[in-house]
Amino acid sequence: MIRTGLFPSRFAPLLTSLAAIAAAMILGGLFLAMRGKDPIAAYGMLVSRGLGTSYGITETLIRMAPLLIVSAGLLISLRAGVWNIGIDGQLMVGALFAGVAAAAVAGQVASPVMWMVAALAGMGGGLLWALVPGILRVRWGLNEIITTLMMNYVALNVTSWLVKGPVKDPSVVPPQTVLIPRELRLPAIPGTTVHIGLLVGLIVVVLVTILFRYTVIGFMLDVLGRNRQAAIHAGMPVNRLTLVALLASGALAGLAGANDILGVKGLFQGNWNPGYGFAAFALVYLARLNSLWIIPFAYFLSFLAIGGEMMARPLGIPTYFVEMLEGLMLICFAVATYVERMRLPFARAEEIETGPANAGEPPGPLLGEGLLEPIAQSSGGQP
Amino acid sequence: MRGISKRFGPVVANDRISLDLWPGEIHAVLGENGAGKTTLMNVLAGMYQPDSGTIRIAGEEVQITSPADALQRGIGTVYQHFTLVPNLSILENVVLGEGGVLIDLGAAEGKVTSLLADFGLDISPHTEIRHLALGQRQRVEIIKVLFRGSRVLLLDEPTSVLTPGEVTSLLDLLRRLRDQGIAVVLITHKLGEALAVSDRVTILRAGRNAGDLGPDVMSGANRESVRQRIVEQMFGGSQPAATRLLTAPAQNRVIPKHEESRRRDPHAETRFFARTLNDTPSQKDTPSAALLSLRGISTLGDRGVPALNDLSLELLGGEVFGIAGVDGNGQKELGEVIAGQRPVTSGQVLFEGVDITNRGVAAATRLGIGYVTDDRLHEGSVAGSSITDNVALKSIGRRPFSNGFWLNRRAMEEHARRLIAEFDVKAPGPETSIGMLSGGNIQKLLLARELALDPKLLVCNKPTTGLDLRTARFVLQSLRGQADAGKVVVLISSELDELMEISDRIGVMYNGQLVADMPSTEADPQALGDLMLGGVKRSRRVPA
Repeated sequence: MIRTGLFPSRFAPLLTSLAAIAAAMILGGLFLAMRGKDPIAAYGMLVSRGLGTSYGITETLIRMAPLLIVSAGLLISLRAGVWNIGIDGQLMVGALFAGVAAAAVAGQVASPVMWMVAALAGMGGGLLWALVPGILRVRWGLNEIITTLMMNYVALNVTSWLVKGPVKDPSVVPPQTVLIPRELRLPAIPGTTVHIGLLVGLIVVVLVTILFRYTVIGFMLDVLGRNRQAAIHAGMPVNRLTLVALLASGALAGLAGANDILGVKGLFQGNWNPGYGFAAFALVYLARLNSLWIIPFAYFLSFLAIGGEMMARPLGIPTYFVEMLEGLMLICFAVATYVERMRLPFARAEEIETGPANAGEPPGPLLGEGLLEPIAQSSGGQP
Repeated sequence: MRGISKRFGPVVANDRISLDLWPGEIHAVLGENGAGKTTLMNVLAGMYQPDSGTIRIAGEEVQITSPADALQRGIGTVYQHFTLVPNLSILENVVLGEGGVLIDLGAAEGKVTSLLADFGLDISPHTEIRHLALGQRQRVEIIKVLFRGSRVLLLDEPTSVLTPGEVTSLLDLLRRLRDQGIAVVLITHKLGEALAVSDRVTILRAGRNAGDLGPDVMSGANRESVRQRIVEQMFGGSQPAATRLLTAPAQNRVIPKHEESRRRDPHAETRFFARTLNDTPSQKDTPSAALLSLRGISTLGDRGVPALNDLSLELLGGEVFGIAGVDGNGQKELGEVIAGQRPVTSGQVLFEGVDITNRGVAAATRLGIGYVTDDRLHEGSVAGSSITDNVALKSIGRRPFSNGFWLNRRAMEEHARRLIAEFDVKAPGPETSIGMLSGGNIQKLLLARELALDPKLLVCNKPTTGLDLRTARFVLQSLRGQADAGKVVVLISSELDELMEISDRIGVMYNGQLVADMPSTEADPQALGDLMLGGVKRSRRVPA
C-alpha cells in the first residue's frame, strides 16, 4: 500500500486519486440532481467563484495554511502506522493554548516574539493532548484509534469549559479568550491579503519531506509503518518511535490551531471546531502518503470548501455538501486503490504466488485490507 | 480412508495415505513437521477435498464437503488453536453454530452441565470462556464437538498448549471417551504421549504411510522396542546420498576442522564431555571461556505459553552449534532471546562475559550478535521497500549509512550494490523492491546483511527452507566459513542432514529445554529423532 514517497517522479499512483475525485464529483452531482439542483450549474459556479474571483483564491490560500500543517502532521503518524484520529481535539487544545498565551503577552513584547510564544504554546497544547493516547499506547498497548478519537470529545468539552470560566475574557459576554488586536496578528504576504501562515504551512511540508527522505528518524518511522515486526527485528526503538509519531502529529495540529488564532480569528471561542481532521485524512490519502503531493491536494480541498460555501448560498445547497464530497472521495479512493491492486501485479511475493489462481475474481471484502478499514469506519455515516 | 492424495501446487502433502479408525480406539497419527498429518486430518474434517482416494464411514462411501458436513456425519475436530469466543459463556459457545432459529437453551444447559461434570469440570455452564485456563478451554472444545453427537474425535496437537499435569488428565479423559466407544484420533509428534494412550499408531513420513502398528503390537509388553520401531519408521535409517547438501570433499573438510579446533584448545575436549556428561555445576565455574552463556533461561512464547524452561547453554569460539528439534519446541524463541528480540522471564544472558539480559536487539547487534529470522517475508524484510533500504535496516543509525541524523543515501546504495554483487543476488538493481525477489535471493540478502556487520555470533533459524540446492549449499558454506574464521554460528534447523553436515556440536530441543548436547561426530539421525520426540538419552540426566 505505502509504496510511494521516495520516488516522487512516479506519478502513476496519482491517477488513482484523480479517478477517485472524479468519481466522487459525479456521485455528488447525482445527489444534487436528485435534490432537484442542476449539478452542472453548481459545479460551474464552484469553479467560477472559487477559482475565478480573487476573493475565492485568497480565501482558498488562507484556508490552505492550517490544512497543510495538519496534513503534514497526520502524514507523519500514518507513515509510521500510527492512527491519529484525534487531530481535531489536538488542534482545539493547541488553539486555546495559543490564544491564551498570545493574549497574555500581546502588546508587551514585539509581535514576532508573541507569534513564537503562541506557536510554541499551540504546539505544546497539541502535544499534551497526543501525549495521553501516546502513553496509553506504548505502556499498555491501548489502541490509539479509540483513545485519540475519544480525546476529541474530551477536548471539545474541556476547552469550552475553560473558555467559559478560567480563561474567559471577562470584559465580554460570549465565552471567548481576550481578542488580539488585528495589527498584532500575522501580517500578509507582501502584495497579497493572505497571511504568512501559508508560508509556515509550506515550510512544514518541506520539513516533513526532508524528514522522510533524508533523516534516520524518518527512515525508521517509515519502516515501522510498513512492517512493525521488521522494525522490532532490526532493533529499532519501536515504542519511542510510535510516541514520536503521535506527538509530532499532535504538535503540528496544535501549531495549525495557533495559526488560525494568530492569522484569522484573533481569539479562541467556545465550541470552535473547524473539523480539519477529516479533511486531512482525505487529503493525506489522496496524496498517497507523499508529503509533497499534499500541497496541490490541500489547494484543491480548500478550493472545494471555499468555492462550495460561495456557491451553496445562492443555489440553496447545504454547506455540508462539501463535507459529503470529501467523504465520497475517501470511499471512492478506497474502491480505486482496490481496483489498482487488482490491476497491477505489483510487489509482494505472496501476491505473485496466489495471483494466477484467483486473478479473475476479486477475493475478500471491499475494504478488507488493513489500512483502509479505520477510514471506512470513520466515514461510516456517509450516504 | 483409502489412498488419500492431496497436493498443493507442486507439493504433494498426502500421497495415497490410508487410515482405518475403529470405534473405541485411540489412534495416534505420528510424523515429523510436513509429514502430512495436518493435511490428512483436514481432509477428514472436511476442510480440504482430496484429489483422489475415498472415505467410507461404516462401509458407506461418502464425500465430506465441509466442516459442517463432517460434524453432521459425526466427525468432530479440536484444532490446535482454539475456536471459542472468549466473552461468551461455555453454554453459548457450545450451542453456537447449532442450526435453527430457536435454540432450546434449557435442554442444552442440562446436557452441558452433565458433560462438564463428566469431564471433571466443576464450573457453571454460564462461566465466560475468558475466565478458563487453557486446559479447561480445551475440554470445552471437546464438549462442544461431543454435544453434536460426534463419534469420531480429531485432536490436532492437543498437548502443545498444556502443562504436564493437564496433559495427564487429558490423556485420562481420552481413555474414558474411548471406553464410551468413541474413536479418538490423536495427531501428535510427541512419541511419549502416543505410546501412553494409543491402541493403534499410524506413522506418516513425507506424505506417505510409513508404518502401522495395531493393538496387538501396542499392547505388547516391550515398550522400548515399540519406541525403537516407531522412531525408525519416522526418521528411517540412512538418507539417500542424493539429498546430501554438501559434497564429500566439503564433508571431509569439516571434520579435520573440528579436530583442529580441539587441538588448538587442549581443554576443549574435556569441556565437551564435561558439558555432555555431568551438566550444570561445572559450567557455572568457567564462564569466561564462553562467548555466549545462557544461564537458566525461561521465556514465554507469542501466545503467553512458556516456550523456554530453565535452559542453559555455553558457546565457544569457532564452532557451529546446531539445534535440532520439532517445530514449536522453543527453538525460535531461543534464537530470539539470544538476539535480544524476546525478553526472558528469568535467567541470564552473558555475551563475552557482559550481562546483556533483556537489553534489546540494538544492544545485541552493537556487541556483535547477528540473527537471521526464519520469517524472511514478514519479519526479516520490509517487502515494499528497496533492497538498499532493507540491507541498511539494522545499522541505519551508524556510519557509513548515516551520521546518526542525516542519511547517507549514496553509502547505502553502494553497500547494496556491493552485497548484490558479492552474494550473486539476482536483482535488477538496488532500487528494486525486495518483495519482488525470490525467496532464495531474499535469504541471501538477509544473510549478507548480517555478515556485513561482521558478527561474532550469528543465529540462523532455518536458513535453507524453501531454497534450491545451490543456494542452500551456498548459505551453509557461508555459515561454515564464519565458524572457520573463529566466529560462532547457531544453526536452528529441522533438517537433520544439514545439521550433521556443518555442525561441530548438535543440541536437541524438546519442550523448551535442551535435552541433549553432543559432538556431531557422535550424532546419528535415529538417536536425534528419538530425542526430538522427547525420548531419553540414556547416558544423560534429563531435566524434569
